[in-house]
Amino acid sequence: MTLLSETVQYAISGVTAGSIYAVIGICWSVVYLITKVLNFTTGEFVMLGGMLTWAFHRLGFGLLPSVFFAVACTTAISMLLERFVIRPIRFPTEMTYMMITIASASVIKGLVLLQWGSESRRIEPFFGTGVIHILGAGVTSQVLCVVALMSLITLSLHLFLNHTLMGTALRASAINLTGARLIGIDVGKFRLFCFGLAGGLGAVTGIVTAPITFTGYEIGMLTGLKGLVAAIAGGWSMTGTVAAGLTLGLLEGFGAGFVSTGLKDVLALLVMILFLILRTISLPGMRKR
Amino acid sequence: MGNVSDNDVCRVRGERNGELRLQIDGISTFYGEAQALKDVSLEVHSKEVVAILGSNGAGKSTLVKTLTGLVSPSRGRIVLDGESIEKQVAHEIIRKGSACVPESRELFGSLTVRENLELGAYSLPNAVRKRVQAERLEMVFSLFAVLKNRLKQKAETLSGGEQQMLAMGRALMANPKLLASDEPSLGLAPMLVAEMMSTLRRICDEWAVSLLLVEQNARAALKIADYVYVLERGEIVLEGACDEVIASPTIQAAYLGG
Repeated sequence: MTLLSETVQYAISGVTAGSIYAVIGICWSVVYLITKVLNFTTGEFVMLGGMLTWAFHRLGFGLLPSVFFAVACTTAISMLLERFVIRPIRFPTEMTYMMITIASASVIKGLVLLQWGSESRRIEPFFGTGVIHILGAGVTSQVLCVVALMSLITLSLHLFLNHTLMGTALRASAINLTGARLIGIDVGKFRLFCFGLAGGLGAVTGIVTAPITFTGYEIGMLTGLKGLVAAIAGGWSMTGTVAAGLTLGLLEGFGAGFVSTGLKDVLALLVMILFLILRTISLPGMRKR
Repeated sequence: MGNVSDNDVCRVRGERNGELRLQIDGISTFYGEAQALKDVSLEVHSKEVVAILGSNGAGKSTLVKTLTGLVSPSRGRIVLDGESIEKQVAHEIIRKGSACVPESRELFGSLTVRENLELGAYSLPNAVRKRVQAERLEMVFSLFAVLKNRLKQKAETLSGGEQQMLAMGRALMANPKLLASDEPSLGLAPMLVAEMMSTLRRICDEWAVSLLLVEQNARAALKIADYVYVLERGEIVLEGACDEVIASPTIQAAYLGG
Protein backbone atom coordinates (compact mmCIF):
# COMPACT_ATOMS: atom_id res chain seq x y z
CA MET A 1 0.00 0.00 0.00
CA THR A 2 1.30 3.45 -0.83
CA LEU A 3 1.28 6.23 1.74
CA LEU A 4 -1.46 7.96 -0.25
CA SER A 5 -3.77 4.97 -0.33
CA GLU A 6 -3.08 4.32 3.34
CA THR A 7 -3.95 7.91 4.21
CA VAL A 8 -7.14 7.71 2.20
CA GLN A 9 -8.04 4.43 3.87
CA TYR A 10 -7.61 5.90 7.35
CA ALA A 11 -9.49 9.04 6.38
CA ILE A 12 -12.42 6.93 5.15
CA SER A 13 -12.63 4.94 8.35
CA GLY A 14 -12.26 8.22 10.26
CA VAL A 15 -15.16 9.83 8.45
CA THR A 16 -17.27 6.70 8.90
CA ALA A 17 -16.69 6.58 12.65
CA GLY A 18 -16.94 10.38 12.87
CA SER A 19 -20.35 10.50 11.21
CA ILE A 20 -21.57 7.94 13.75
CA TYR A 21 -20.17 9.94 16.68
CA ALA A 22 -21.83 13.06 15.27
CA VAL A 23 -25.27 11.45 15.16
CA ILE A 24 -24.84 9.92 18.63
CA GLY A 25 -23.68 13.33 19.86
CA ILE A 26 -26.88 14.83 18.46
CA CYS A 27 -28.87 12.21 20.41
CA TRP A 28 -27.19 13.43 23.62
CA SER A 29 -27.75 17.10 22.91
CA VAL A 30 -31.36 16.84 21.71
CA VAL A 31 -32.25 15.26 25.04
CA TYR A 32 -29.96 17.40 27.17
CA LEU A 33 -30.98 20.76 25.73
CA ILE A 34 -34.71 20.19 26.16
CA THR A 35 -34.83 18.12 29.36
CA LYS A 36 -31.49 18.85 31.10
CA VAL A 37 -31.03 15.09 31.35
CA LEU A 38 -27.48 13.94 30.62
CA ASN A 39 -28.71 10.65 29.24
CA PHE A 40 -26.20 7.84 29.76
CA THR A 41 -28.55 5.32 28.18
CA THR A 42 -27.77 6.91 24.79
CA GLY A 43 -25.04 4.33 24.12
CA GLU A 44 -27.34 1.48 25.17
CA PHE A 45 -29.84 2.53 22.50
CA VAL A 46 -27.05 2.08 19.94
CA MET A 47 -26.38 -1.38 21.36
CA LEU A 48 -30.10 -2.25 21.50
CA GLY A 49 -30.56 -1.30 17.84
CA GLY A 50 -27.92 -3.77 16.72
CA MET A 51 -28.80 -6.54 19.16
CA LEU A 52 -32.56 -6.36 18.58
CA THR A 53 -32.08 -6.44 14.80
CA TRP A 54 -29.86 -9.50 15.20
CA ALA A 55 -32.40 -11.11 17.53
CA PHE A 56 -35.43 -10.47 15.31
CA HIS A 57 -33.44 -11.64 12.28
CA ARG A 58 -32.53 -14.86 14.10
CA LEU A 59 -36.21 -15.43 14.88
CA GLY A 60 -36.75 -15.64 11.14
CA PHE A 61 -37.82 -12.12 10.24
CA GLY A 62 -36.31 -10.58 7.12
CA LEU A 63 -33.59 -7.96 7.52
CA LEU A 64 -35.87 -5.00 6.75
CA PRO A 65 -38.68 -5.97 9.16
CA SER A 66 -36.06 -6.76 11.82
CA VAL A 67 -34.57 -3.29 11.39
CA PHE A 68 -38.02 -1.75 11.61
CA PHE A 69 -38.94 -3.65 14.78
CA ALA A 70 -35.59 -2.88 16.41
CA VAL A 71 -35.92 0.87 15.78
CA ALA A 72 -39.56 0.86 16.94
CA CYS A 73 -38.74 -1.07 20.13
CA THR A 74 -35.75 1.11 21.02
CA THR A 75 -37.77 4.27 20.43
CA ALA A 76 -40.52 2.93 22.66
CA ILE A 77 -38.07 1.87 25.40
CA SER A 78 -36.53 5.34 25.37
CA MET A 79 -39.93 7.02 25.67
CA LEU A 80 -41.02 4.66 28.46
CA LEU A 81 -37.79 5.47 30.27
CA GLU A 82 -38.62 9.19 30.12
CA ARG A 83 -42.26 8.81 31.09
CA PHE A 84 -42.03 6.23 33.86
CA VAL A 85 -38.50 6.45 35.24
CA ILE A 86 -37.21 9.98 34.71
CA ARG A 87 -40.32 12.16 34.82
CA PRO A 88 -41.67 10.84 38.15
CA ILE A 89 -38.52 11.95 40.00
CA ARG A 90 -39.86 14.28 42.66
CA PHE A 91 -36.91 16.60 43.17
CA PRO A 92 -35.11 16.53 39.86
CA THR A 93 -31.57 17.82 39.66
CA GLU A 94 -29.09 17.22 36.87
CA MET A 95 -27.21 14.91 39.26
CA THR A 96 -30.22 12.68 40.04
CA TYR A 97 -31.07 12.57 36.33
CA MET A 98 -27.53 11.46 35.55
CA MET A 99 -27.48 8.78 38.25
CA ILE A 100 -30.81 7.40 37.13
CA THR A 101 -29.76 7.12 33.50
CA ILE A 102 -26.47 5.45 34.46
CA ALA A 103 -28.45 2.94 36.52
CA SER A 104 -30.95 2.40 33.68
CA ALA A 105 -28.06 1.83 31.27
CA SER A 106 -26.71 -0.92 33.53
CA VAL A 107 -30.14 -2.53 33.73
CA ILE A 108 -30.56 -2.55 29.94
CA LYS A 109 -27.06 -3.95 29.49
CA GLY A 110 -27.64 -6.62 32.13
CA LEU A 111 -30.92 -7.75 30.58
CA VAL A 112 -29.34 -8.05 27.14
CA LEU A 113 -26.47 -10.08 28.62
CA LEU A 114 -28.95 -12.40 30.35
CA GLN A 115 -31.06 -12.88 27.27
CA TRP A 116 -28.48 -13.14 24.48
CA GLY A 117 -25.15 -13.79 26.20
CA SER A 118 -21.80 -12.10 25.89
CA GLU A 119 -20.78 -13.12 22.36
CA SER A 120 -20.25 -10.56 19.62
CA ARG A 121 -23.07 -10.60 17.10
CA ARG A 122 -22.98 -9.69 13.48
CA ILE A 123 -25.60 -8.56 10.99
CA GLU A 124 -25.06 -9.25 7.27
CA PRO A 125 -24.10 -6.20 5.20
CA PHE A 126 -27.25 -4.66 3.73
CA PHE A 127 -26.14 -4.46 0.10
CA GLY A 128 -23.76 -7.40 -0.23
CA THR A 129 -20.01 -7.40 0.18
CA GLY A 130 -19.01 -5.32 -2.83
CA VAL A 131 -15.94 -3.10 -2.55
CA ILE A 132 -15.11 -0.03 -4.59
CA HIS A 133 -11.65 1.48 -4.82
CA ILE A 134 -10.80 5.14 -4.30
CA LEU A 135 -7.14 6.11 -4.84
CA GLY A 136 -6.09 2.58 -3.93
CA ALA A 137 -8.20 2.40 -0.79
CA GLY A 138 -11.06 -0.04 -0.50
CA VAL A 139 -14.53 1.10 0.52
CA THR A 140 -17.22 -1.46 1.30
CA SER A 141 -20.83 -0.85 0.37
CA GLN A 142 -21.73 -0.88 4.07
CA VAL A 143 -19.34 2.00 4.78
CA LEU A 144 -20.93 4.01 1.97
CA CYS A 145 -24.33 3.17 3.40
CA VAL A 146 -23.30 4.41 6.87
CA VAL A 147 -21.87 7.70 5.64
CA ALA A 148 -24.83 8.35 3.33
CA LEU A 149 -27.40 7.56 6.00
CA MET A 150 -25.68 9.63 8.69
CA SER A 151 -25.44 12.58 6.29
CA LEU A 152 -29.11 12.20 5.41
CA ILE A 153 -30.10 12.09 9.10
CA THR A 154 -28.06 15.17 9.94
CA LEU A 155 -29.39 17.11 6.95
CA SER A 156 -33.03 16.20 7.66
CA LEU A 157 -32.66 17.16 11.31
CA HIS A 158 -31.12 20.48 10.30
CA LEU A 159 -34.02 21.21 7.95
CA PHE A 160 -36.57 20.09 10.54
CA LEU A 161 -35.12 22.25 13.33
CA ASN A 162 -34.69 25.38 11.24
CA HIS A 163 -37.54 25.33 8.78
CA THR A 164 -40.58 23.90 10.53
CA LEU A 165 -42.77 25.34 13.27
CA MET A 166 -42.21 22.34 15.52
CA GLY A 167 -38.45 22.50 14.95
CA THR A 168 -38.39 26.17 15.89
CA ALA A 169 -40.56 25.39 18.90
CA LEU A 170 -38.05 22.71 19.96
CA ARG A 171 -35.19 25.20 19.70
CA ALA A 172 -37.28 27.69 21.68
CA SER A 173 -37.87 25.10 24.42
CA ALA A 174 -34.13 24.51 24.64
CA ILE A 175 -33.65 28.25 25.22
CA ASN A 176 -36.46 29.02 27.64
CA LEU A 177 -38.86 26.43 29.04
CA THR A 178 -41.14 28.94 30.80
CA GLY A 179 -41.42 30.95 27.60
CA ALA A 180 -42.22 27.72 25.77
CA ARG A 181 -45.05 26.88 28.16
CA LEU A 182 -46.45 30.41 27.86
CA ILE A 183 -46.76 30.21 24.06
CA GLY A 184 -48.63 26.93 24.41
CA ILE A 185 -45.98 24.23 24.11
CA ASP A 186 -46.80 21.01 25.93
CA VAL A 187 -43.35 20.49 27.41
CA GLY A 188 -44.14 16.92 28.49
CA LYS A 189 -44.84 15.91 24.89
CA PHE A 190 -41.62 17.53 23.74
CA ARG A 191 -39.64 15.61 26.36
CA LEU A 192 -41.15 12.35 25.14
CA PHE A 193 -40.44 13.32 21.55
CA CYS A 194 -36.77 14.07 22.28
CA PHE A 195 -36.25 10.78 24.10
CA GLY A 196 -38.01 8.94 21.29
CA LEU A 197 -35.86 10.69 18.69
CA ALA A 198 -32.66 9.88 20.59
CA GLY A 199 -33.74 6.24 20.99
CA GLY A 200 -34.65 5.85 17.33
CA LEU A 201 -31.55 7.56 15.94
CA GLY A 202 -29.32 5.70 18.39
CA ALA A 203 -30.82 2.42 17.24
CA VAL A 204 -30.29 3.31 13.58
CA THR A 205 -26.58 4.04 14.14
CA GLY A 206 -26.23 0.76 16.04
CA ILE A 207 -27.88 -1.15 13.22
CA VAL A 208 -25.90 0.25 10.30
CA THR A 209 -22.56 -0.19 12.07
CA ALA A 210 -23.26 -3.76 13.24
CA PRO A 211 -22.15 -5.30 9.92
CA ILE A 212 -18.82 -3.41 10.16
CA THR A 213 -17.81 -3.48 13.82
CA PHE A 214 -20.05 -6.25 15.19
CA THR A 215 -22.28 -5.61 18.17
CA GLY A 216 -22.61 -7.06 21.65
CA TYR A 217 -24.08 -6.26 25.05
CA GLU A 218 -21.02 -4.25 26.15
CA ILE A 219 -20.53 -1.83 23.21
CA GLY A 220 -22.93 0.83 24.50
CA MET A 221 -20.86 2.64 27.10
CA LEU A 222 -17.80 3.46 25.00
CA THR A 223 -19.79 4.25 21.84
CA GLY A 224 -22.08 6.48 23.86
CA LEU A 225 -19.20 8.27 25.54
CA LYS A 226 -17.66 9.12 22.18
CA GLY A 227 -20.93 10.73 21.16
CA LEU A 228 -20.87 12.68 24.43
CA VAL A 229 -17.34 13.87 23.63
CA ALA A 230 -18.61 15.14 20.27
CA ALA A 231 -21.54 16.94 21.91
CA ILE A 232 -19.37 18.53 24.59
CA ALA A 233 -16.57 19.53 22.22
CA GLY A 234 -19.17 20.86 19.81
CA GLY A 235 -20.71 23.05 22.48
CA TRP A 236 -24.05 21.14 22.25
CA SER A 237 -24.90 22.85 18.97
CA MET A 238 -25.76 20.75 15.94
CA THR A 239 -23.07 22.12 13.63
CA GLY A 240 -20.53 22.02 16.44
CA THR A 241 -21.37 18.41 17.27
CA VAL A 242 -21.06 17.30 13.65
CA ALA A 243 -17.71 19.09 13.27
CA ALA A 244 -16.43 17.69 16.57
CA GLY A 245 -17.67 14.16 15.77
CA LEU A 246 -15.90 14.14 12.40
CA THR A 247 -12.71 15.56 13.92
CA LEU A 248 -12.77 12.90 16.62
CA GLY A 249 -13.35 10.16 14.04
CA LEU A 250 -10.45 11.37 11.88
CA LEU A 251 -8.17 11.66 14.92
CA GLU A 252 -8.99 8.08 15.80
CA GLY A 253 -8.58 6.88 12.23
CA PHE A 254 -5.14 8.45 11.77
CA GLY A 255 -4.06 7.73 15.34
CA ALA A 256 -4.93 4.06 15.03
CA GLY A 257 -3.51 3.78 11.51
CA PHE A 258 -0.22 5.65 11.79
CA VAL A 259 0.58 5.25 15.49
CA SER A 260 -1.13 2.33 17.18
CA THR A 261 -4.56 0.74 17.26
CA GLY A 262 -4.30 0.84 21.05
CA LEU A 263 -4.58 4.60 20.78
CA LYS A 264 -8.05 4.48 19.22
CA ASP A 265 -10.28 4.53 22.27
CA VAL A 266 -7.86 6.47 24.45
CA LEU A 267 -7.95 9.39 22.03
CA ALA A 268 -11.63 10.18 22.51
CA LEU A 269 -11.29 10.35 26.26
CA LEU A 270 -8.10 12.40 25.97
CA VAL A 271 -9.99 14.88 23.82
CA MET A 272 -12.73 15.08 26.42
CA ILE A 273 -10.27 15.67 29.26
CA LEU A 274 -8.50 18.31 27.20
CA PHE A 275 -11.74 20.12 26.53
CA LEU A 276 -12.78 20.03 30.14
CA ILE A 277 -9.42 21.41 31.22
CA LEU A 278 -9.54 24.19 28.67
CA ARG A 279 -13.02 25.04 29.94
CA THR A 280 -14.18 26.10 26.51
CA ILE A 281 -17.40 24.40 27.48
CA SER A 282 -19.00 23.56 30.73
CA LEU A 283 -20.61 20.34 31.78
CA PRO A 284 -24.00 20.65 33.40
CA GLY A 285 -23.65 21.72 36.98
CA MET A 286 -20.35 23.47 36.35
CA ARG A 287 -20.39 27.23 36.54
CA LYS A 288 -18.33 29.37 34.24
CA ARG A 289 -15.92 31.43 36.24
CA MET B 1 -67.52 56.89 48.39
CA GLY B 2 -67.20 54.53 51.32
CA ASN B 3 -64.93 54.81 54.31
CA VAL B 4 -61.43 53.54 53.83
CA SER B 5 -60.22 51.50 56.77
CA ASP B 6 -57.32 49.07 57.11
CA ASN B 7 -59.50 46.07 57.79
CA ASP B 8 -62.38 46.30 55.40
CA VAL B 9 -62.18 45.92 51.70
CA CYS B 10 -63.27 49.24 50.36
CA ARG B 11 -65.68 48.83 47.50
CA VAL B 12 -66.31 51.88 45.45
CA ARG B 13 -68.00 50.15 42.58
CA GLY B 14 -68.61 52.01 39.38
CA GLU B 15 -70.25 50.90 36.16
CA ARG B 16 -68.30 48.04 34.64
CA ASN B 17 -67.56 48.19 30.96
CA GLY B 18 -68.76 45.34 28.72
CA GLU B 19 -69.71 41.82 29.73
CA LEU B 20 -67.87 39.63 32.23
CA ARG B 21 -64.75 38.07 30.71
CA LEU B 22 -62.65 36.87 33.62
CA GLN B 23 -63.82 36.05 37.08
CA ILE B 24 -61.35 35.10 39.78
CA ASP B 25 -63.22 33.84 42.80
CA GLY B 26 -61.58 33.24 46.18
CA ILE B 27 -58.15 32.16 44.90
CA SER B 28 -55.46 31.10 47.38
CA THR B 29 -51.97 30.17 46.19
CA PHE B 30 -49.14 28.73 48.26
CA TYR B 31 -45.41 28.37 47.68
CA GLY B 32 -44.73 25.46 50.02
CA GLU B 33 -45.84 26.76 53.41
CA ALA B 34 -45.94 30.41 52.43
CA GLN B 35 -49.28 31.76 51.31
CA ALA B 36 -48.81 34.24 48.50
CA LEU B 37 -52.48 34.89 47.68
CA LYS B 38 -55.29 34.91 50.26
CA ASP B 39 -58.82 34.55 49.00
CA VAL B 40 -58.40 36.93 46.08
CA SER B 41 -61.48 37.73 44.00
CA LEU B 42 -61.63 40.04 41.01
CA GLU B 43 -63.33 40.57 37.68
CA VAL B 44 -62.25 41.78 34.28
CA HIS B 45 -64.93 42.85 31.81
CA SER B 46 -64.59 42.74 28.07
CA LYS B 47 -63.89 46.40 27.29
CA GLU B 48 -61.78 47.14 30.33
CA VAL B 49 -58.24 47.83 31.35
CA VAL B 50 -58.12 46.56 34.93
CA ALA B 51 -55.13 47.60 37.00
CA ILE B 52 -53.77 45.61 39.92
CA LEU B 53 -51.65 47.87 42.11
CA GLY B 54 -49.42 46.82 44.93
CA SER B 55 -45.90 47.08 46.27
CA ASN B 56 -43.13 44.51 45.99
CA GLY B 57 -44.12 41.15 47.43
CA ALA B 58 -47.82 41.97 47.50
CA GLY B 59 -48.54 38.90 45.38
CA LYS B 60 -48.98 40.59 42.01
CA SER B 61 -46.72 38.28 40.05
CA THR B 62 -48.15 35.22 41.79
CA LEU B 63 -51.58 36.36 40.68
CA VAL B 64 -50.41 36.50 37.05
CA LYS B 65 -48.67 33.12 37.34
CA THR B 66 -51.79 31.58 38.85
CA LEU B 67 -53.96 33.03 36.10
CA THR B 68 -51.59 31.70 33.39
CA GLY B 69 -51.29 28.22 34.88
CA LEU B 70 -47.59 28.45 35.74
CA VAL B 71 -48.55 27.78 39.37
CA SER B 72 -51.82 26.22 40.46
CA PRO B 73 -54.07 27.63 43.15
CA SER B 74 -54.95 25.44 46.13
CA ARG B 75 -58.43 26.96 46.46
CA GLY B 76 -60.82 29.03 44.43
CA ARG B 77 -62.08 29.29 40.87
CA ILE B 78 -60.89 31.06 37.76
CA VAL B 79 -63.59 31.41 35.12
CA LEU B 80 -62.74 32.67 31.64
CA ASP B 81 -65.75 33.33 29.39
CA GLY B 82 -67.85 30.94 31.44
CA GLU B 83 -65.29 28.11 31.57
CA SER B 84 -63.36 27.05 34.67
CA ILE B 85 -59.63 27.09 33.99
CA GLU B 86 -58.07 26.89 37.45
CA LYS B 87 -57.15 23.20 37.03
CA GLN B 88 -55.57 23.71 33.59
CA VAL B 89 -51.88 24.23 32.91
CA ALA B 90 -50.16 26.97 30.92
CA HIS B 91 -50.20 25.35 27.48
CA GLU B 92 -53.95 24.68 27.79
CA ILE B 93 -54.88 28.10 29.16
CA ILE B 94 -53.30 29.98 26.26
CA ARG B 95 -55.63 28.01 23.96
CA LYS B 96 -58.62 29.29 25.94
CA GLY B 97 -57.69 32.84 24.98
CA SER B 98 -55.75 34.08 27.98
CA ALA B 99 -52.19 35.24 27.21
CA CYS B 100 -49.60 36.68 29.51
CA VAL B 101 -46.49 38.83 29.44
CA PRO B 102 -44.57 37.95 32.60
CA GLU B 103 -42.32 40.41 34.38
CA SER B 104 -39.26 38.45 33.23
CA ARG B 105 -40.58 38.53 29.63
CA GLU B 106 -39.32 34.98 28.94
CA LEU B 107 -38.28 35.68 25.36
CA PHE B 108 -36.26 33.24 23.25
CA GLY B 109 -33.03 35.23 23.35
CA SER B 110 -31.01 33.54 20.63
CA LEU B 111 -33.93 33.28 18.21
CA THR B 112 -34.73 36.16 15.87
CA VAL B 113 -37.51 38.66 16.46
CA ARG B 114 -39.44 37.08 13.59
CA GLU B 115 -39.11 33.59 15.08
CA ASN B 116 -40.22 34.87 18.49
CA LEU B 117 -43.31 36.47 16.95
CA GLU B 118 -44.16 33.47 14.79
CA LEU B 119 -43.87 31.16 17.79
CA GLY B 120 -46.41 33.38 19.51
CA ALA B 121 -48.97 31.86 17.14
CA TYR B 122 -47.93 28.30 18.09
CA SER B 123 -51.12 27.66 20.07
CA LEU B 124 -53.46 28.50 17.18
CA PRO B 125 -55.16 25.59 15.40
CA ASN B 126 -53.22 24.41 12.32
CA ALA B 127 -56.08 25.19 9.97
CA VAL B 128 -56.10 28.93 10.66
CA ARG B 129 -52.55 29.57 11.86
CA LYS B 130 -51.12 30.87 8.57
CA ARG B 131 -53.95 33.35 8.04
CA VAL B 132 -54.24 34.60 11.63
CA GLN B 133 -50.46 34.81 11.92
CA ALA B 134 -50.27 37.19 8.95
CA GLU B 135 -53.11 39.35 10.29
CA ARG B 136 -51.66 39.46 13.77
CA LEU B 137 -48.19 40.32 12.51
CA GLU B 138 -49.65 43.41 10.82
CA MET B 139 -51.42 44.33 14.06
CA VAL B 140 -48.21 43.97 16.07
CA PHE B 141 -46.33 46.17 13.59
CA SER B 142 -49.06 48.81 13.79
CA LEU B 143 -48.65 48.87 17.57
CA PHE B 144 -44.87 48.50 17.75
CA ALA B 145 -43.48 49.83 14.47
CA VAL B 146 -39.89 49.46 15.64
CA LEU B 147 -40.14 45.66 15.63
CA LYS B 148 -40.63 45.65 11.88
CA ASN B 149 -37.06 46.87 11.39
CA ARG B 150 -35.66 44.34 13.82
CA LEU B 151 -37.13 41.13 12.40
CA LYS B 152 -33.80 39.49 11.59
CA GLN B 153 -32.12 40.56 14.82
CA LYS B 154 -31.78 38.17 17.73
CA ALA B 155 -34.16 38.99 20.57
CA GLU B 156 -31.33 39.25 23.09
CA THR B 157 -29.75 42.13 21.14
CA LEU B 158 -32.82 44.37 21.56
CA SER B 159 -32.97 47.16 24.13
CA GLY B 160 -35.08 46.69 27.27
CA GLY B 161 -37.98 48.65 25.85
CA GLU B 162 -37.89 46.77 22.56
CA GLN B 163 -37.81 43.45 24.40
CA GLN B 164 -40.91 44.51 26.31
CA MET B 165 -42.60 45.33 22.99
CA LEU B 166 -41.54 41.98 21.55
CA ALA B 167 -42.89 40.11 24.59
CA MET B 168 -46.17 41.99 24.23
CA GLY B 169 -46.22 41.31 20.49
CA ARG B 170 -45.51 37.61 20.98
CA ALA B 171 -48.42 37.34 23.43
CA LEU B 172 -50.77 39.15 21.03
CA MET B 173 -49.86 36.75 18.21
CA ALA B 174 -51.88 34.05 20.02
CA ASN B 175 -55.05 36.07 19.32
CA PRO B 176 -55.99 36.33 23.01
CA LYS B 177 -59.23 37.72 24.42
CA LEU B 178 -57.47 38.57 27.66
CA LEU B 179 -53.93 39.78 28.14
CA ALA B 180 -52.26 39.87 31.54
CA SER B 181 -49.24 42.13 31.60
CA ASP B 182 -46.89 42.03 34.57
CA GLU B 183 -44.99 45.29 35.18
CA PRO B 184 -44.81 46.46 31.55
CA SER B 185 -43.22 49.72 32.73
CA LEU B 186 -40.36 47.99 34.52
CA GLY B 187 -36.98 49.25 33.37
CA LEU B 188 -38.42 51.64 30.80
CA ALA B 189 -37.44 55.31 30.53
CA PRO B 190 -40.26 57.62 31.78
CA MET B 191 -41.10 58.75 28.26
CA LEU B 192 -41.40 55.16 27.09
CA VAL B 193 -43.63 54.30 30.04
CA ALA B 194 -46.27 56.79 28.90
CA GLU B 195 -46.00 55.45 25.35
CA MET B 196 -46.32 51.85 26.53
CA MET B 197 -49.40 52.74 28.59
CA SER B 198 -51.15 54.42 25.69
CA THR B 199 -50.32 51.43 23.48
CA LEU B 200 -51.89 49.14 26.08
CA ARG B 201 -55.02 51.29 26.03
CA ARG B 202 -55.11 51.00 22.21
CA ILE B 203 -54.78 47.21 22.43
CA CYS B 204 -57.91 47.19 24.56
CA ASP B 205 -59.91 49.76 22.58
CA GLU B 206 -58.93 48.94 19.00
CA TRP B 207 -58.31 45.20 19.20
CA ALA B 208 -60.93 44.20 21.76
CA VAL B 209 -58.44 42.57 24.12
CA SER B 210 -59.35 42.86 27.80
CA LEU B 211 -56.35 43.87 29.80
CA LEU B 212 -55.19 42.92 33.27
CA LEU B 213 -52.42 45.36 34.02
CA VAL B 214 -50.27 44.53 37.02
CA GLU B 215 -48.19 47.53 38.02
CA GLN B 216 -46.04 48.93 40.75
CA ASN B 217 -46.03 52.25 38.93
CA ALA B 218 -49.49 53.32 40.12
CA ARG B 219 -49.36 56.75 38.55
CA ALA B 220 -48.79 55.31 35.09
CA ALA B 221 -51.37 52.55 35.45
CA LEU B 222 -54.10 54.87 36.76
CA LYS B 223 -53.81 56.99 33.62
CA ILE B 224 -55.30 54.23 31.48
CA ALA B 225 -57.20 51.95 33.86
CA ASP B 226 -60.99 51.68 34.05
CA TYR B 227 -61.12 49.71 37.23
CA VAL B 228 -58.55 49.20 39.96
CA TYR B 229 -57.75 46.60 42.60
CA VAL B 230 -55.14 47.17 45.28
CA LEU B 231 -53.27 44.10 46.50
CA GLU B 232 -51.41 44.06 49.82
CA ARG B 233 -49.78 41.03 51.44
CA GLY B 234 -51.70 38.72 49.14
CA GLU B 235 -55.13 40.27 49.75
CA ILE B 236 -57.31 42.69 47.84
CA VAL B 237 -57.64 45.67 50.19
CA LEU B 238 -59.36 48.13 47.92
CA GLU B 239 -61.21 48.12 44.62
CA GLY B 240 -63.16 50.60 42.60
CA ALA B 241 -63.59 52.55 39.39
CA CYS B 242 -60.39 54.34 38.50
CA ASP B 243 -61.41 57.96 39.09
CA GLU B 244 -62.94 57.12 42.45
CA VAL B 245 -59.88 55.18 43.54
CA ILE B 246 -57.62 58.07 42.59
CA ALA B 247 -59.62 60.32 44.93
CA SER B 248 -59.32 57.94 47.85
CA PRO B 249 -56.97 59.16 50.59
CA THR B 250 -55.24 55.77 51.10
CA ILE B 251 -54.28 55.60 47.47
CA GLN B 252 -53.14 59.21 47.54
CA ALA B 253 -50.98 58.53 50.57
CA ALA B 254 -49.64 55.07 49.75
CA TYR B 255 -49.25 55.06 46.00
CA LEU B 256 -49.30 58.58 44.64
CA GLY B 257 -47.18 60.27 47.28
CA GLY B 258 -49.88 62.32 49.03
